[in-house]
Amino acid sequence: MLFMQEGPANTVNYMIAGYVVIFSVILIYLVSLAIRNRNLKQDLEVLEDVDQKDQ
Amino acid sequence: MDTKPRFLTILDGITGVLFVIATAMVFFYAPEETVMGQVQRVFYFHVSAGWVGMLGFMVAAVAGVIYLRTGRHNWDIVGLSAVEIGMVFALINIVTGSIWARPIWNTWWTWDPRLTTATIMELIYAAYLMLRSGIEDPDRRARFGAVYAIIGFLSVPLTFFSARLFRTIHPVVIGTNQPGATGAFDMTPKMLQTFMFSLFTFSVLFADLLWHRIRLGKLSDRVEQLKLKSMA
Amino acid sequence: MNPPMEPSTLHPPSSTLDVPRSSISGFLRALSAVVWKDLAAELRSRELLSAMLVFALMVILIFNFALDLEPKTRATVTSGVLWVTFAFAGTLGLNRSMAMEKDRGCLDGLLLAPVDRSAIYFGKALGNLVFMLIVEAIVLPVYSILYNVNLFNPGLILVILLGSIGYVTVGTLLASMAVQTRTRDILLPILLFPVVIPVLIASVKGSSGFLQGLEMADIWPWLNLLIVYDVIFTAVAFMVFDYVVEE
Repeated sequence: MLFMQEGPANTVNYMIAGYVVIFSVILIYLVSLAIRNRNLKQDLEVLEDVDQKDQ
Repeated sequence: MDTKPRFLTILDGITGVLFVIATAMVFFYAPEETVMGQVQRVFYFHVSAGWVGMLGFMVAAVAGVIYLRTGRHNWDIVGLSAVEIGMVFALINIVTGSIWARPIWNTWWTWDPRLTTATIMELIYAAYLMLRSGIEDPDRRARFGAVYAIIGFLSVPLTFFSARLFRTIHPVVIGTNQPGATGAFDMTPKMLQTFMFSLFTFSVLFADLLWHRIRLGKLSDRVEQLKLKSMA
Repeated sequence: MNPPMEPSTLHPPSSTLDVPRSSISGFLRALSAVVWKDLAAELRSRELLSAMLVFALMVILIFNFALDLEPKTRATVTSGVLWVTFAFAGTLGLNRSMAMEKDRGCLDGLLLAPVDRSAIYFGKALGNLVFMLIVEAIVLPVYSILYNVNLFNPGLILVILLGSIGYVTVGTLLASMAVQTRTRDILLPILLFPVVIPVLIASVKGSSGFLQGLEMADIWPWLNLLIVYDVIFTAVAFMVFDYVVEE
């Protein structure tokens, strides 16, 4: 609740919570991109190997 | 396609630098808001994330139209990538919106038209992904995805208008003692500069992530092709 | 379905035929053929209408216990209850209508005809609209009787018409897609509801505006929204349906 007081309300905690959300969600997405990339590259190696052998 | 293009690496660098500067501006350059206090700083990235959410939708819809007209599969990858990234940032928008609402209006949620529309947009994104996951044939998956992206995108402005019209008749935010509260505040020049810079940074971030995600999509397609080939 | 070995062309098939595009009369003939097919089939079996009707009445019954429908609160809540009922019964109808098409292979037969694909879409949509309107026409008097509310209001009927058109326009398109996926029935509401929200909001507010006897100036914005929605999505569906039924 905002009520008249000297200076602005103390809402630092909420700001921190907000930025934790922003940074961690972006970070998680970046990590997910990296992991998927690595897995696919591994799959690609195996499959290209198999492909070579078939030919 | 396998080696990472040099320009992408440069873009990564630019994005990183912009992001650091934007963060610094938010915390050190922009002044504290006189009534709400520090939580107002969330606003800069909250709106920017919302902007990227909309951007993702737009790109997906345009990619959908182009895919339907040309049939070139790459556009399907663009659409899917845009939706995925848009979804992530729309989520950030919604959650930070909730966090901002809590100290201002003493409620975890407000049926504010923008927040409502963002949530519905997120649901459309999720429906898009569910639609795709229910289709085996890649061509049909791409076509249906394109159609739904277009329909979804066109519905969003209408949803926003109807929610806003609804609100002008019921302006009171539930749980507040201030009727007609909108969380508005006056922006000083420094705030405006921080805001514009954040928007710009997030737009560049979107482009960077999109490029990476598209490359991932192409890689994934190549793996799928080889899998099918090896099973045939 | 065999996985395609080559990417299929994405030109609407009718343009690859060298037959000159059918005239308006050809289009209308095809359209009415589709509509009559659906109506005639339904007249014989009545499975679609009875399912929708029973479901709608059940929903209204449940609302009686779920919400306080006392006379005082009724005015504000009636339009909401009605539209939730219509939305859910509508989904049922759309699902069944497209599923029957697919299961009986009617769609394939229709697609072979040298007819503008959009005639098929409009035919299906019109058929679905008729079914939805029939259900609504029965629900209104039943609700009036059960809850002693006068629902015979021309403004209300207008809103119901406009809202149903919007709902069915998008619903038919999305149902055509949903029925071709693995998850079928479950998928339609997930696809449809977020996109059709402007229709639901405008219909509820428009309905309650007329029921509460508000000024036209207050109700007009909602009608306007419905008309805009209907026009935009009819146009989009027209342009996009070809891509949804290609085999």
